[in-house]
Amino acid sequence: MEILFVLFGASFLLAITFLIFFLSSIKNGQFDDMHTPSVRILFENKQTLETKIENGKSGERTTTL
Amino acid sequence: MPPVINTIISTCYHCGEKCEQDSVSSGDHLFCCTGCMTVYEILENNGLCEYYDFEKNPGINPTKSFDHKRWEFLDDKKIQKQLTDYLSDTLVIVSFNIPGMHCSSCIYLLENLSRIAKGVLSSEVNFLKKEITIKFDPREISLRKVVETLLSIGYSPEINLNNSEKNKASGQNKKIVYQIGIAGFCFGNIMILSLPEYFDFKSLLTIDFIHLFRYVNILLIIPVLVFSASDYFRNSWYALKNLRSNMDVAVTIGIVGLAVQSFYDVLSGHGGGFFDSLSGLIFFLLVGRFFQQKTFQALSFDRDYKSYFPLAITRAKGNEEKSINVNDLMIGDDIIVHNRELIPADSILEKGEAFIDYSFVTGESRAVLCSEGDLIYAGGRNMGPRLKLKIIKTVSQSYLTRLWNDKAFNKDEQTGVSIWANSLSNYFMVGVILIAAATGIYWKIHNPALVMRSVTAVLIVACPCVLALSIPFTFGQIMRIMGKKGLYLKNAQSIEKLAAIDTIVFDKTGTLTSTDNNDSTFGSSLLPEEKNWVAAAASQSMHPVSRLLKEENTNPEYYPITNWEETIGAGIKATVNGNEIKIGKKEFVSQEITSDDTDDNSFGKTYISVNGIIKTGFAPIQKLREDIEALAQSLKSKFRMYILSGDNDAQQSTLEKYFTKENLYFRQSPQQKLEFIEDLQGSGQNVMMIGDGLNDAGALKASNFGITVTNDIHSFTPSADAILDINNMGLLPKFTSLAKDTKKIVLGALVFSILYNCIGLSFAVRGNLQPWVAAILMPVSSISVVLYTRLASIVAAKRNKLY
Repeated sequence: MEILFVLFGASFLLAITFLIFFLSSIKNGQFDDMHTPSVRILFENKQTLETKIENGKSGERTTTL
Repeated sequence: MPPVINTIISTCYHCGEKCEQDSVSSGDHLFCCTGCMTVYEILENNGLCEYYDFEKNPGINPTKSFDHKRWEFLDDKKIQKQLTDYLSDTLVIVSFNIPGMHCSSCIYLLENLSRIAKGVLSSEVNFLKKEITIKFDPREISLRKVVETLLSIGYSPEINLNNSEKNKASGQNKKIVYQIGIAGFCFGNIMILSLPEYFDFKSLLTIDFIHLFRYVNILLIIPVLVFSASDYFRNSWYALKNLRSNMDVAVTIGIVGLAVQSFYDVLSGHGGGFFDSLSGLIFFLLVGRFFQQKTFQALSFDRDYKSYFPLAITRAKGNEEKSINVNDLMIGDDIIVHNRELIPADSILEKGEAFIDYSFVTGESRAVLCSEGDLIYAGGRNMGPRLKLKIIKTVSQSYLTRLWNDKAFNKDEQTGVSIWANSLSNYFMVGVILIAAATGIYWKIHNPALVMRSVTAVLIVACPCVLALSIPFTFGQIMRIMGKKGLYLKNAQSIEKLAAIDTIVFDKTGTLTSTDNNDSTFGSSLLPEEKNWVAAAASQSMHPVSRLLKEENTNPEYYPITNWEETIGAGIKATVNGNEIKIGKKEFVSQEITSDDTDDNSFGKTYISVNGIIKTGFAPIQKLREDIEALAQSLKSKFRMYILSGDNDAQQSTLEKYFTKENLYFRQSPQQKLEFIEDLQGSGQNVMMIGDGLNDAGALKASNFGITVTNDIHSFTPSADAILDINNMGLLPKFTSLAKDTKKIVLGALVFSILYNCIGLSFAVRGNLQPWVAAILMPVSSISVVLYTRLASIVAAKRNKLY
């Protein structure tokens, strides 16, 4: 049963780590605005898609050359 | 491509408004005006037409948001310093409120500002706060240019002195998230570590484990008590210091009772204590408090009068004109006030004549004519061409500022503290102390060993957490329901104030009358051509009635005007396109006295004649709202009603139909309104004041419950408890009755609380409160109360037809 001491210590450390992550994410402002990023991701997606297509095209060209 | 005149009725591609005859088109798209088309072309040239893909007709008509302000003052270094968050030679960070932001297309456009304006490095939007943070390189683009770019695409930023005062509320908001995070973490871990105490695992584990778990629990509870619960301790300490008692005191007694008992149990080796219940209690209470904060985060209310004053004004010194900060104005300075600008400080008119609109100050909708040497008060709006004024009082000593500094505005308010909660918790505490005392005396006689244990158990279990949770959750829910229907409350306390109202005082202009509904019948009896002549003649005058007439002109065309002449206080005479037009008082327009003139109705009316024939007579007064009768009828039985108007008594007879004659007051100055409210309160009435503007500010603030009615819920006036969308005035009776129902819901929660306490107390008084009983009872009671309040609020809203 003494193994429980080790397990307990390990799980507790893990929990503390998560707590620290959580607190630092609050500090970095991750929870300040819960709405805009959800909309923003759509725009960025479209933009990167465009650039991807462009990249793809230029890539094709290089292979044909 | 050249704009093409189009006659097909359609909606504007940019803003979605109906396109009238004079619509324009660019490419395949129709626009209601050139403003909208310009925005489209800017976007097209910058490859931002994706803007139109996210939402249909997302645009804002730029002419609507453009408010004729001048922006030179943004070049002033001192003002820049006040407005910006960060300022250096290579980088400027500035944030603005943009009330016009309304959809995802807006976010797209505003975040791509760098593609429209060269020099903007990045822009980031916080949609819920309607805020944009812009980073730009001042070597490439000036602050003024950034603001003008925003204006050119229809998003007018709010720029006022308040921008410069940094917002501290967000820091407060973060603190509670930290507190909840810590409390939740400790709560979860304490629960796990307490499990062996509830079940008979003890036999499986060695005594070392039990001790380890208990001491780790002590370690975990310390941050909860010291950090997470600190606000409760602080609030109750302040309350006790002032010899008052509130909900936080009751909560603190519960927390301290639990903590002392638990520490004693663990340190003396008696048992595991109640750490799990304690951390859970604090966690749930904090969640309730967070919910309450979140509900009114979307509205930031506390704006002061400074928001309404111009930030800068043009000062003339010799031949040099310079834009300076209004706070730098000195007595004796000469200032230039352009058309539609506000006058920042009491001053004297140096040259010529001026039309000043004091509706901000007095509510009187007609502009006042001032001549050379007249005193002009701060808050007036220049309705004519530019004026030169000499300052005689500094901004802070002017008439309006003094009114706003009246004691009513400095009324000390304890925000967020619920009156009901406090009075209920007082009864609650008295009850708990009586039960604890009775229990103590009983065990003193029968079994002295159990005295301490049973008394602390009573204090622990009778914690008013159910009560503390039910109020924020009920109020939050009700506030959201009201918000959906156009009534935005300042804080939770407002609901209690609203429920207590027995008297309603209305302002007239803009509240009972509606601005979109001007009585402009003059057009109907004129031919379209004649209408244009009249408008052309009127456009030369600064008189407010003339301005009204001018706006009626839909199709501006040039007409030669000769013999234009204005007789102050009578009317205008002009020859337009060879036709003689007269606008003005009846005796001015027509020399003959007809029998009609004895008619009282001719007073205050404006007459128009074309070539000597009177075409029409109309009174440029505002029409009463259409739903006024229904509103007055439904409120009559429950409330005493008064009308205080800063305007003249032109509408007295109409209003008498709906309101008691003795309760109508006209030509009231802001100070009189304030005093009237205070008189009513002096006679023991709970007064609700409904007004629309700054001139009511004193009265709104002094009243028990002040409502500002507005078309634009984002442009608040200060000092109100609530903001009501003007189109929802008719729902007022329903709002008041919902507020009264809210009280019943809270009382229902009290019944719940008593029920749970009876169960808990039945264990406690027997000196038999096991940790597992507390650990089950507390979360179950909290969750069931939250569910109950949610359901009950929806039922109440449905009954009042508000959901």
